[in-house]
Amino acid sequence: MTDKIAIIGDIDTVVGFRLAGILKSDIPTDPASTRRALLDFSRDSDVSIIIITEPLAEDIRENIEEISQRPYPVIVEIPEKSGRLAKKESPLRRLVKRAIGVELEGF
Amino acid sequence: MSESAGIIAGVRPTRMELLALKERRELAARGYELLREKQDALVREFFAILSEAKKYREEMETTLAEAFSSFMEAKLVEGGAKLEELSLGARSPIDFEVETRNTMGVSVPIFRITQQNEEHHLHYSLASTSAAVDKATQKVRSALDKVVRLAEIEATVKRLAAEIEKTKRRVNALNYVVLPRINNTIRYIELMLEEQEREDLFRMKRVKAMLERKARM
Repeated sequence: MTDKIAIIGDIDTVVGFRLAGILKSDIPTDPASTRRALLDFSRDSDVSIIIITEPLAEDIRENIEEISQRPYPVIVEIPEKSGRLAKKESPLRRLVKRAIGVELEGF
Repeated sequence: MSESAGIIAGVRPTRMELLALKERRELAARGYELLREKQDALVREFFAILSEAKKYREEMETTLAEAFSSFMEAKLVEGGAKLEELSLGARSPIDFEVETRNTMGVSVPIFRITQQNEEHHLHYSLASTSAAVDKATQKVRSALDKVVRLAEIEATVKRLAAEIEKTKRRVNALNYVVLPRINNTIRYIELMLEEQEREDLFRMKRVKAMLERKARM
């Protein structure tokens, strides 16, 4: 059973992933309910991966960063069906900057 | 060498203390070397895994884009309400076990995917739905598969980055605070000991002179 993955996203993303067999999902309508969904899933000890769409993740960046400090759950950001957010700094790039102290092209 | 590091507080300027400090300096220098090596190894591992992470993310995004377009097709054929209804009865086609691996003192997660034969897990009756739904479901499943792999590798990258930061802080603390402070203290004690020696020498000369004068009288 995949109650180990939870998904937070818009209705199309969530219905799509539910078809693929994900049981735990939430379709928040505002940042407050996004935050509530994220915190609920992160407290659920069965959940080890939380999938969240990029626009929703942007709204609650601080909470995401905080939960990322812990071993579990792992949060994965995915693009919405309209595609990747253009202006967004990629999470990998931010990590490289912090760990190595220099900006790297291509991440 | 940094003057601002100061000296270790409350240290007594004795030879014993000097010897102990020199031992400490050796230990700190060796620790510094080891940590530097660890840092280098972590950085190498980090870059190796980083390019992999980038590849996986791109793959995931491509697969997901395909999945979305199949999904929208299915939505056109069946209607959103029908898809939602189908999705509520969905059961898991993908399962994985969570394990932890240790790389150079960093514990990283492993999601071992144990995927079963997909046909057995179609949860809706094939007759009542169109091929479009089946196709969309398959596509989203493969996207999900990629997301799980990506989760593992991105978590690994994150933890390596955190460990590199931690190691870097310790390396810097040894190099810019601990070692200079030990060196300053050693220099301080050596100066004090020299000063004492000079004083002793002077005192002995004085005593000798006084004794000689007394002897002449």
